Amino acid sequence: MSYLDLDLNLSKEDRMLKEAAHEFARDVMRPTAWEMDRMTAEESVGPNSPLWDFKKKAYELDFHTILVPDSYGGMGLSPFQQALVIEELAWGSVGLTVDLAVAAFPSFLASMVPEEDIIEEIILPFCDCKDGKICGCWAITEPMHGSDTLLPFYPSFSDPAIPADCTAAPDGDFYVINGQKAAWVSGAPYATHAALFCQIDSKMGHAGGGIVIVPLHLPGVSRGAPLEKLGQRDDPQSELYFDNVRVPAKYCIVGPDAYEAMLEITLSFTTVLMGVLSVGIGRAAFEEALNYAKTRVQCGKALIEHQDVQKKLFNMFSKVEMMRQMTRAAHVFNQNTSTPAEEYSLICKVHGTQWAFEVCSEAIQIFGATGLTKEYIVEKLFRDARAMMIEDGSNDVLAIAAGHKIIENYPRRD
Amino acid sequence: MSVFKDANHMYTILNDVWTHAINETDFGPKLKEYEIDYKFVIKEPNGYLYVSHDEVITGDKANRDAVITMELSGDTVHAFWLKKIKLPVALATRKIKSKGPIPKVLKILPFLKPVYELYPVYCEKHGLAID
Repeated sequence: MSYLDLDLNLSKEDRMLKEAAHEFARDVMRPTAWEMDRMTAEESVGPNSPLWDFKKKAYELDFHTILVPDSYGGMGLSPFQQALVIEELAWGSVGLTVDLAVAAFPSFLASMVPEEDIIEEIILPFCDCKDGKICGCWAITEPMHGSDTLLPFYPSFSDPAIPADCTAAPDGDFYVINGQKAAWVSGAPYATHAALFCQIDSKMGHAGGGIVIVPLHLPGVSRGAPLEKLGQRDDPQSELYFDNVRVPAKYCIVGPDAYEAMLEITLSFTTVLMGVLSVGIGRAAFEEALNYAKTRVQCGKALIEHQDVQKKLFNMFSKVEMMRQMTRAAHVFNQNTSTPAEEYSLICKVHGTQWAFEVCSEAIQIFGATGLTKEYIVEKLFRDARAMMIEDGSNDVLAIAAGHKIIENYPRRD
Repeated sequence: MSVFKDANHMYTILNDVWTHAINETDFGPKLKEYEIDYKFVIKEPNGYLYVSHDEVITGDKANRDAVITMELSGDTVHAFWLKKIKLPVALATRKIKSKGPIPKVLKILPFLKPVYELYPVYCEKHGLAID
């Protein structure tokens, strides 16, 4: 189902992108996600999983390069177009959209450092890939750390007494990686490359980190078993282990001198995208509830004729529409300035995922008992949305971090 | 004190480098294709530089609207073109402040290679140390 776009300036290209993404979400992502949701975690990455066919189709249409500049063969979308397309994909499946986004992460980050070797060895092969076999992951979460690795400029972030679980030590022309990333690394069971965020200078605490592109075929890399979880079962995740993994130093994109600030720039991007995903899943739940309410009869009339249901649907619709405007504005602003205002991205993540959860919960309420069964997609959407309130940082912790930023920065002048 | 003697010294070198880049390399046509023009707002020495696919302007006349505006010091200009500082590090540490679409900033980066190669040559020509 399409929606009224309040932006009067949508170009023909914007509309075509949106339609193409929606078609793909409807015809490929929804069925794939539905099937993977019913598999065990092991089966979902097994040879008979529909995941591989999905990836091949997505790569054939270049959806894996949404975040990559077109000068390398990426889609080269504007920030506004990124929001437009990602909402549609998330409408089809949040889990598979996350899988596509993290697949691009090593190349996306590498595109900021266009050294010839990195272009030739990392970015171009990824953009040229059409079978889904070259894919990345974002390895930041650690077993002993939850959201606290996502709090640049928060006091604890620079505390050297808080040890990291994964470190990189310089050794000549190499970095030697040791340690572990937690089971929540999306795409880790099959990724060929990791955008690894790890500690280099322990005296600086988490702030002494670095971003290293790690080819995961290197000796010393191993992976955990795919994780069984409540929601987003169509986004396979597992641990990554590093045992004296030697990575060429040229693959270190950012070192401790700029890690904290670079992380803030990265998070300004990723947290607002969580908001965009929330719009997509919230809209999916709203549309399911609206359609169901038109056909289901109770007390002798369609649900849609009951005033309480009408009010519920209005509130669901309002949350989706408000968050769409907020996420687009924050994403476009932060992608047009090198000093992003992360607190605005955090509004999108914290409130977007909360509202998406509430919309999905209300959709189940409108479905009644049938909404609790696996016969209808709202049950899956509800579980997926619940995961989003913790994914990419717990909303509670991120709200504290955002409060800290507002106290420090309000009113921002640029 | 800046590595550049004064604004005129800086303008001479940057004007030569950018004029060569837009006229003799792929950089100019790519600026046109991607619809990008730049304004550089430089501190110490204070000055403006405007670069589009077909012209390079220095001084107050260069203080005009552009798709991408970058604010940075003269020393950062010098360090950047000598590859002593990477763009993400410069952006992250606020040594360069950028206004304009970040995707456009990133997509033009691979075509800056000739500028990196030319810059030390012109520094030498105009007596600017590159160590």
